[in-house]
Amino acid sequence: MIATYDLGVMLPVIAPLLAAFLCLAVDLIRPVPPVAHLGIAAVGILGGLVAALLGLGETRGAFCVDGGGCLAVVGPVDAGLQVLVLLGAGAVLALAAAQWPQVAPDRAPVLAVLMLIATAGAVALPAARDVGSWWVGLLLATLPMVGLVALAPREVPATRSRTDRRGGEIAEALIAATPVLASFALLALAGALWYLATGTALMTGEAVFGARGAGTESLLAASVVLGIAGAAVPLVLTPFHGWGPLIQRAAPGPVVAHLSTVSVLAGLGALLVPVRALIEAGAITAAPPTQLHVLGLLAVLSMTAGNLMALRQREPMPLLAWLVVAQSGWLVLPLAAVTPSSSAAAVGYALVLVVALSVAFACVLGVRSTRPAVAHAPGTALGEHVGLVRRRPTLGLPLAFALLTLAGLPPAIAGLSAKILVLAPVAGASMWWVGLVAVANLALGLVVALRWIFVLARPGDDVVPAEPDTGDRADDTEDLPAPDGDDTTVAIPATSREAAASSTTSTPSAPEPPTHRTYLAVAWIGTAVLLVTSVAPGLLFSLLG
Amino acid sequence: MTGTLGGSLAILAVPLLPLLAAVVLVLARTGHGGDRRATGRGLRSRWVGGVAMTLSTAAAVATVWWRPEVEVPWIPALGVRLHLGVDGISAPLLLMTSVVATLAVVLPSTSDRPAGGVDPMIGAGRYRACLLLVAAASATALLSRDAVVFVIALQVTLVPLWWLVQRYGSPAEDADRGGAATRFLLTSVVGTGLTLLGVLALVVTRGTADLDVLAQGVSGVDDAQTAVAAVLLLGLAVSVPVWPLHSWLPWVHATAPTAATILLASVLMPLGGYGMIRLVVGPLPDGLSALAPLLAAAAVVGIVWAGLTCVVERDLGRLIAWAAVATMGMVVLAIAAGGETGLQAALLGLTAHGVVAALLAVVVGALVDRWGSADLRAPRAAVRETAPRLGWGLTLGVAALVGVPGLAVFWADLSALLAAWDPTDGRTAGWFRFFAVLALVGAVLLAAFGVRVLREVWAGDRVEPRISDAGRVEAAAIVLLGLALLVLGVLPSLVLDLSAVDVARLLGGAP
Repeated sequence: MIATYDLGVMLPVIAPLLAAFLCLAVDLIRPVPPVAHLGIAAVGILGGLVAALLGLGETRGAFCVDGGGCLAVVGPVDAGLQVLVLLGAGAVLALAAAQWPQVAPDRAPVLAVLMLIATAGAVALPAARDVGSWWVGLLLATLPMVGLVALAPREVPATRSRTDRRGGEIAEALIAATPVLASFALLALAGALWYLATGTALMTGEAVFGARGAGTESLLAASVVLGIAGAAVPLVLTPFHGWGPLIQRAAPGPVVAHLSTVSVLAGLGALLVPVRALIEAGAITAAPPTQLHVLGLLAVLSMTAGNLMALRQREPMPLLAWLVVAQSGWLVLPLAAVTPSSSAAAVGYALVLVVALSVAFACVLGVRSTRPAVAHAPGTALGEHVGLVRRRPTLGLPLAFALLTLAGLPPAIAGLSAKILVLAPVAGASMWWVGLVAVANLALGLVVALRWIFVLARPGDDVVPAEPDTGDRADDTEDLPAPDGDDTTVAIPATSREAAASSTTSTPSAPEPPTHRTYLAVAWIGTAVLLVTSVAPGLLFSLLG
Repeated sequence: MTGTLGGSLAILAVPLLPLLAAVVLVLARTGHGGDRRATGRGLRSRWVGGVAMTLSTAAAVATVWWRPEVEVPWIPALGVRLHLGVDGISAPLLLMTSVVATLAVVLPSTSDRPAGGVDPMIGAGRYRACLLLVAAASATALLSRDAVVFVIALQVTLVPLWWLVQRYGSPAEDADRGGAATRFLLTSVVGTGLTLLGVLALVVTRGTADLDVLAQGVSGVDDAQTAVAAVLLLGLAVSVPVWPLHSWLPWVHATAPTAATILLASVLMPLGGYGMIRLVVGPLPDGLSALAPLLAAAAVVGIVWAGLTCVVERDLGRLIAWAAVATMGMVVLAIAAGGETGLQAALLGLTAHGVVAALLAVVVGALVDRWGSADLRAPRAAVRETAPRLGWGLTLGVAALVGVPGLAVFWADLSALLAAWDPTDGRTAGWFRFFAVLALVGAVLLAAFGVRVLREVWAGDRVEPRISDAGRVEAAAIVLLGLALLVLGVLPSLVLDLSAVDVARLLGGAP
């Protein structure tokens, strides 16, 4: 039935899968050191990246049926999203490289394979044009999450016994399995309804017309809503976000970075499949833009909930997890108004988001890797980050800039441009209630970022004396809900704010341990990208044609 | 001269020179030493900033004279271009803000001298870098012929100003300073965010971000236009500020360091009014028409409200801030009344207000700095006796503010009231006449404020505790700004002639 295959178009998907196969094959033939698997994975992702970059700027189809559409189509926006997924996967791999020595040799190939398969799934999703590819893509992208959460090495306190650790891993794997299954179940239902409504498995504009002709539009609407719900799970959109912060609190750093970048992009890819069909249908009729109020609601709920919860967090990783919830809201915001520019706007935002999040994760993990003792000490909110800009500018400055980018405030014009991009379709479609809540969230997001930046810029020597918290933190915790629970907090002496001004004169009490190179590389390459796109935002969006 | 290399260089120099100087000052922050070197650094940053701002002002004058234009695509996906140019509407404001920002940069500040345990020199460079950044961004906002770039430039001013208040604010409580700074930042972000939303709605529906094309307006009343105008006015009303969105101003105004107060009152607040003229009056005439009574009512309530507060407020810094709310209320009333008279009055009002606010900020900043607090209840020496130069500045500023004829604000207030008495077509004349009467009442209240300030601060016989008079730079600033007030008061046609053609075109563009 299929007339042409055009496997070249699918190379960005095939390359990581080939690398995964290679990992397993090598491991079967003879055991190699773990680092070899990392190398194979890097080559696979790089190959996919090159293939995706070559495909930028044109529309190509694969698995085309005679007289009917293609099962996979890669347009400029889709290729842009594929490039992003692969870039994100590359960053995750780089972050994992720093912790790779701790991986047990028997687990190394499994972890590499899981990461590669998840990447391949996320790359396949933007190209999917039929129900089957949609399902397979989502399963490939999300199912490996269970294994990654369970198997990746983590910093476990030495006091915990081996059985304890195993038990924790199993519990986390179970938690990870729930969203994967829920997401797939919702998508399965959505696909079935789509077929019922349109009479075809293809998810294109013509299919939407078919439903209109057949008078099954309500079925189609139900299918779209279920599809949105299914995609909302990997996107960590409220109210489907519950699993995110739960897992991200426990899972190892690189896995959290994976869940926050590659997996979120997979969710975006899955969401784009039905939305793109609606966009195509709208472009044919030139009707006023359809308004997906459901998606608008999810977007503003996520922003608000994510930002509010981020304000309450006292540790960097959970804070980042909630920040991802808020950012996902921004990410899907343009799709609430179905206009021809919506998908490009979402992918443009995704670009800034993935780069900024990679920088943030690199910095947070970099700090944590060299300061494990402080990282797990109860105390000051974000205690391990006090004075980071002065203590370790190589990590503090990129982190501050990434946070400003996520908040979307100049000097991080890249972040502001991204916000402009996603607000434009909503404003153009006069969806005022969505736009106004989004604007309020600009301020909320700024508070979240400033609270952290305050800590980064705050004067702080290496060893901070423990004493009851005084009003010194007034400016960063003001108007924020009082953190609950902790009994002792670490505070800076009241005069140290002044001392900070001249802290260049004071010498740190202990030399900082060096940061692993890969953290620095990810942080600074990302910051360079953000800086360049701040000066010339046009570059950012030329990627999308 | 459009398109020539010299003209392009001049127009680019206006925002780029301060930006460059800011970068230099931030990067040059090396080493640290004793007081003498510290003072040297303070001086050096003043020189670097002052020279850059003077050259930038000269470039602004050249730009206004030759009217060059520069155009570069910036975000092609949105059709946003870096299109810089100046016309009669932005010219008076550009000149005013350039001069005022120059003064703000060269004024000596507390961060120049070692005091209070703070190593000041960390401050001096970065302090002036922040001022220069605000100046560069506001110049960009005024020069931009592109609506999106205007809003982006407006947002760029926020973080440096926030930092100025947060870090260098008056030596009050940390928490107080932080509170003022954070409140400023959050309200302003919401304000500029709303403006951005409105601009995007405008840009997407009209398919262009070019202010000249947008200014041609669209015909026919429809609800969408009113909604966009409402969002834009709401956003800009925060930065102007218009009652009831003014509550952030007095606190921030009183807390910010003198130079930041100048930039806030003389640069940012006029930018809000300028945004209303550019983004609402031209592009959305019908939307403004529908909302004008509401806007005018808010403005008039603000005038009376601020006037009443001025009679009882006990903090000199806040007092000046409340007076600024009243002046800006007059400007907004003029904008709401519309027509050529209204717009001309608004432009003159924005320019005059900028000069007066700068003068008062210089004088009040100097006084508060010497007194150690701004509380009017504390017994003080009469300024007339101990600091005659500052006394002159204060008298002139207060006289101008309350609208004494012969000084700049008089013409602005008069033409605003005239415009409100006889509003343009599409406005309810009855309502606007009522508003004009109320505004007049507010003006009388403001006169009471003037008398009160002069009586409590300037007049009297006490000579203890003595305070030093204005230094050279402060005195020069007072003279310069006072002269500007006089010139604008005697020859308001300087501004009116400059803007007449473009105001007529802005209004004529609407069918």
